[in-house]
Amino acid sequence: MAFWDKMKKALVGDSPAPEEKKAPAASGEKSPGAGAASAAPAAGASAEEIGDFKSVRVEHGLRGWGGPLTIQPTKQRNLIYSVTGGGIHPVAQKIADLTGASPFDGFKSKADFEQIACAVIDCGGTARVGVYPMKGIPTIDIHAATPSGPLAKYINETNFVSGVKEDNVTEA
Amino acid sequence: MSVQKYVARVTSIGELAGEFIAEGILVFFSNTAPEELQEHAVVHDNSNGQSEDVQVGDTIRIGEHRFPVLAVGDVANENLRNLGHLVLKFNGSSEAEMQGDVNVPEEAIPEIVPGTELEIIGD
Repeated sequence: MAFWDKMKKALVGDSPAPEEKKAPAASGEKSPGAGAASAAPAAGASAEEIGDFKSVRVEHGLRGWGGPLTIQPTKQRNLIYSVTGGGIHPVAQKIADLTGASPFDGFKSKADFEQIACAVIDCGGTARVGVYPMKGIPTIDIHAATPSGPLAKYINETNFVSGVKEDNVTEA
Repeated sequence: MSVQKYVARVTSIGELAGEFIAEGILVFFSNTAPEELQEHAVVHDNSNGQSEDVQVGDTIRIGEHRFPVLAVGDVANENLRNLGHLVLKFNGSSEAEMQGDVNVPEEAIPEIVPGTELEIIGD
């Protein structure tokens, strides 16, 4: 591991470590990466901010984990961010159709995290499962993954749901 | 007669890739992946795609180091084909714990720098 420690140091330098690294695991939901407020961006959103957007409920599917999540897009967070192979996933499309938010292909163009209502991923369990919860974005995994890997500490039932099929998305 | 199934050259190493490496995991993404995924990954330039599915018994070459493939998760090939995404676990396990896993022997992760080649070779 010595090489990688050196590598990390070379890459990250002596500047302060990114805040997610400093978050003590024991602080659980209070850690900056998985803060309750940021994980549920629309919680407490006013009628003005919500505008005409509807909310949906997303439950975990067979052998899935986490949730249920309520996704409420707002005027600011109006993108359903699909980070899946082969374009907009049907689950992302259904969430967009029911809420009135816009489907967005994360592999084609770049969005600000502040614009994202939720991320739809097709992660096999290790990397993408943690990246979006860490950024405070509600995350919907098509595959029935349970949290694993070094980013598992950022994942909880209020910011992650897996094994999701179109039938698991309903009007809230 | 061996078949080259996948080849790529490392272009950069994400700032947070070390978190995975510390747990014996190499996460690859192609340089077309969103930035937030590249941050955690070894980023490569494959744009030719994948000629054949990776399977148990194939060889993964990283630079001069070769590792036999011990297990391939259900969605590992889909990830590689669509996203240039590979989760390589140096855990010695012949069962893929997660659907995206590709397992190789429990050995030290080799040195990777921009320019290092990743190749997947079938028999």
